[in-house]
Amino acid sequence: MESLRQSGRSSAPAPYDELVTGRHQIRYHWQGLLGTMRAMPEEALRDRVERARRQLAEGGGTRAVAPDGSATEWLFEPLPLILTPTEWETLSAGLIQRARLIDAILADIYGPQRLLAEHRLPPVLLHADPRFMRPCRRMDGSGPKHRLVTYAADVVRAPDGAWSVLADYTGAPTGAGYALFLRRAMARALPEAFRSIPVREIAPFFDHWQAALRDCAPAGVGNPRVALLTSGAFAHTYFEQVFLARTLGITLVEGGDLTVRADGVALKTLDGLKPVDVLLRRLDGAWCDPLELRADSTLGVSGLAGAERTGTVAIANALGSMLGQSAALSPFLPALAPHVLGEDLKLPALDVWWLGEEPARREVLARFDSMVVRGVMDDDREPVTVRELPGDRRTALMAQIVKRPWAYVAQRPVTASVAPSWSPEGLLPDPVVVRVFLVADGDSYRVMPGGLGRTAPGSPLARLGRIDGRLRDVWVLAEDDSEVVVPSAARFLGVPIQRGGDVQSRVADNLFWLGRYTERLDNSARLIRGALSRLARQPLGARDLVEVRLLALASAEARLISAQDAMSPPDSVALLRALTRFASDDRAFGAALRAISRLVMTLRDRLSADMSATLDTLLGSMSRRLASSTGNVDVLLALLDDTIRMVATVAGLSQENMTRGAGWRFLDLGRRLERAHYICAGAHFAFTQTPVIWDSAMRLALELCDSTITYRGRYLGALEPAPILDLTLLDESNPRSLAFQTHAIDRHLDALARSTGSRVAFDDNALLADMGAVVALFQTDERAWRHEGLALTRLRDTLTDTVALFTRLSDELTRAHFSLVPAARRLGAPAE
Amino acid sequence: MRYRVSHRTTYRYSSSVDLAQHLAHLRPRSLPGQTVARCEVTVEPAADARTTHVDHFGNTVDSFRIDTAHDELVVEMRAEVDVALPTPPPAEATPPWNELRDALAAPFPVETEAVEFAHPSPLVAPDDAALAYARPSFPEGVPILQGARDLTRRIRADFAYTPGATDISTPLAEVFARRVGVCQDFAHVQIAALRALGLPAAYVSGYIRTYRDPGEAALRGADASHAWVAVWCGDAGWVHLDPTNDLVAREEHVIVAWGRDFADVSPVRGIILGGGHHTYGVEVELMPLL
Repeated sequence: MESLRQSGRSSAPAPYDELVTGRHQIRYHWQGLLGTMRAMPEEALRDRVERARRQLAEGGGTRAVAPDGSATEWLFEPLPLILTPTEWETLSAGLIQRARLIDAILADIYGPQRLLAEHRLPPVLLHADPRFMRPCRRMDGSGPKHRLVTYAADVVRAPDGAWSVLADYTGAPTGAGYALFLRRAMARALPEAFRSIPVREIAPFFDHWQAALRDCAPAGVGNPRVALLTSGAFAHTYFEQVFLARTLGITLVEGGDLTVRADGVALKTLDGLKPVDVLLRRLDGAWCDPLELRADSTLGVSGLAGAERTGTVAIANALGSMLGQSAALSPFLPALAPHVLGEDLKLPALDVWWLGEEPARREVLARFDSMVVRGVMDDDREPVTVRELPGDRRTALMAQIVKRPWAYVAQRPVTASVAPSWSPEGLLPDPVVVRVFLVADGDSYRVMPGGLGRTAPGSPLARLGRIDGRLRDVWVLAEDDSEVVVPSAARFLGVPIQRGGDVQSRVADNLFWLGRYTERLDNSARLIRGALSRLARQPLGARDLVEVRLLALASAEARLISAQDAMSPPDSVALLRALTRFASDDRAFGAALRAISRLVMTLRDRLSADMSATLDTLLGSMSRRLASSTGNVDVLLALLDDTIRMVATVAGLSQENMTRGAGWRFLDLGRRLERAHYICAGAHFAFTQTPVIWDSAMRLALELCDSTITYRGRYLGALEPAPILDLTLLDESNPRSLAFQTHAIDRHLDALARSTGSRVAFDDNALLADMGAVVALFQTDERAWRHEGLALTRLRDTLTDTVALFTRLSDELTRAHFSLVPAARRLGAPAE
Repeated sequence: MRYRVSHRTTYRYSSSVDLAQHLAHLRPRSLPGQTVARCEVTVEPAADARTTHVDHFGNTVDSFRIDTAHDELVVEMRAEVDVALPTPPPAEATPPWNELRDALAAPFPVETEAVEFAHPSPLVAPDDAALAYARPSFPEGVPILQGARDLTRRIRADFAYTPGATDISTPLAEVFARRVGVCQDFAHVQIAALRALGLPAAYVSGYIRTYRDPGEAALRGADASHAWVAVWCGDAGWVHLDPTNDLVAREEHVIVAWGRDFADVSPVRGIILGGGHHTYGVEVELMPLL
């Protein structure tokens, strides 16, 4: 609003109002929506908006983390922007033509470069632009049908009501996923509007997108395999990439998952290499191949540019196509359209001047203060409103322009149209930039009948391309009801994805460790809870003192407190303080939390929405509560209880919601292995101490294996080693026993051997037979356990051996199944 | 002059390499003044996939992939080349450098292909030091070739040829500061100086004939690959100048490839998996065949 009033005072024309005509009447095509809203009680509408916003935020979709670690958050604007069929027709015809034109220009730039030779395009626009990727140029006339398979444009409506293009996105356009995401949120928030207003569906656009990707496949590939090459879990739009991969039904892969072989690009899976024919690329082109492009890239695939050149893989968009979004191209498009396409440019360009031309430069410098200047040789340059610059920076900018005029374009400030935004107090006019999405379709392009409306925090030109501010759905009305299908919100709640044998080795590795670390949280919480709950019960009895000491030592063994702290007297402040700091960064619990948040980030496409949400809540509430606990024992105890329950929820979700493919097996293997390790090294720790305090050792084993109730039910309280050890080590029906874990591990290894063909050596029967013999000793001879006898020695040895066995097993799994490829190295190329 | 040339690159690895991908710019170019009679590139062990293509600069690139474990890689190029580069026009007859600069700064210069060599490239981004170094050779109005030859002479005089003082990752600023280097550094120095003035300059890789005392046998591998610059002289086209030897290339230089700097034309580079430590050897032989 503020900016609107300001622009009203200056000489700039008043913005076009999407909702209201010049005669203060509501435009006809908005009346349906306003009618629907008016028919609803005010609170009902407010509740729905708040619920929709909360759901979006909890799903993690409204947050985007920039590479520098700063997070931006966008807000869901419940009012859509509504466009009529006629104006949409004009706009989309213009954008289709623009996509064809840019595609043809890219084909020339990366091919014969006739436009340069004929002096229609200044050579400096390529040659000084880092986005021109020389290794992608083809000198032999070959090339894909489209370099531009997906294209997006930011358009604005000028005060006179005409649309024009503010920015093009030709490299790896973002936002289409968010558009669908918003449409589904709208369908949940205002379902009655979709029943009464003929809004065109955008979901079919994604079917066309799928088809377009399949069409890119190298000749002769019948049923192409398509994957989305992500820029990684820390990318600004990773959430969208995951959502998009699901929507398009394609595998999300990182550069490290792929390898280039003699016959093409292949995905490293547990079953070996699987060919990939088409890559939907979301990784910036320059980072895609350390061999031919940026040598310092660790995100790409060595040899990918060569594979694209030889046509064994198709990349959408083609490497190097980001050059097509250079703002310096747009002043040349009106002249290029008749030459390249034989048509006049339909969509008027904004008045943009490329300063490499002397007359334009003179003109712009003469009216410098009314201009917005953008650097065009570097995509990250923010547009600068000259009027707002302090004097010295204005002088510096002018000097830069004189020195490198070809690196700049200038244009007048943009006045975008305003659309109504919802607020509890009423509707407010907000400037809107609309991103429209296109995908190749035969020789031409198809437009998504909808888009993403964005109200940026500042000027419409600021932070172009970012996903931030207020985002709204864009409704294109249908000519008649026949093309309208009520959108289904049901597709949104994704079932967990499991693709059988197609699990990438990296994903299996990550799932294995997610299993281990979440289980480690549970195990750690049990040890610390045991100690803290006793210390909370003042005064401490003699038995408590013994058990606190044992738990402290076991905690030190699990690296939850330091060995030195564990030796402090059980009732000392030093020990208490050490125990309350279990979650600090240098301790196993804190490390597990950090590892889980990293893994959840990279596994988002493999976990169900519920599971990610539960893990997000676990991590979020944990760090919040830890920060505010300030060592308060009661608060920490409640937090440990919740940790244990939350881990159980995650485990339950994985049991109930994941298909029993290799991915699930690795998650469960990790959990079983970690728990088996804990049973031997943590829960039975007290048996390894000399002298053994029998009473405490037995009670702790039951408590730490969560088996106290079961034992009491079976044996009515009499504590004896043989039945206790039987329950915690040998009883296959007890999910907290060693035997339960080893049987599960054995079954997983068998199943993996069937699908991957390699079996990691592990003999659970031999292990349990040894354990059984030891337990039997305790049963036959009372003296065996009264003193430091043979049975105890055997028990200790067997527990130690078993721990070593599990450590070995974990290493062998890593060697056998995970991509243990050494890091790639460069030879003969200079460091950049 | 006809030459028989061979260029053999050997990588030895302390442990075996599981997977290797390489690009090689090794094949001498055919161009006016240089004819390639015969050329072959061999790879040992045999490559699992091999292609050649012509790159943006017109160089022929061999790319190959080895999927089988190996602890030694040998890439060898053998060719016969006839060289007689045209004699450049008299330096005084070339256009004033500032006219050339202005002509190229126009949005649509007549000669489009020279433009990209006037701009910064990954390894050669001209700075103030390069500009200050270039100035004395280029008073306003000096013919381009005269200025460029003077610059070549000064680099030869000011910089010490010191093998081992630099390597491929030494930044140009350091070469300027220490005034030492090898042919590749001197080529980069001259390119930076010319680009600082807005003049196009290309990096040329190739070989140079070396003379020995009469009676001394030419030793295999005694020579190395060489690098120099090509300067854009307007209508006279590209003139090849060798700052390491203060020479105009005519009959004693064999041109392999050109680009904006070394990174565009490095003879053999690659990405390997495994391999431990590696040692690297290059043997070049250039034999005049009369």
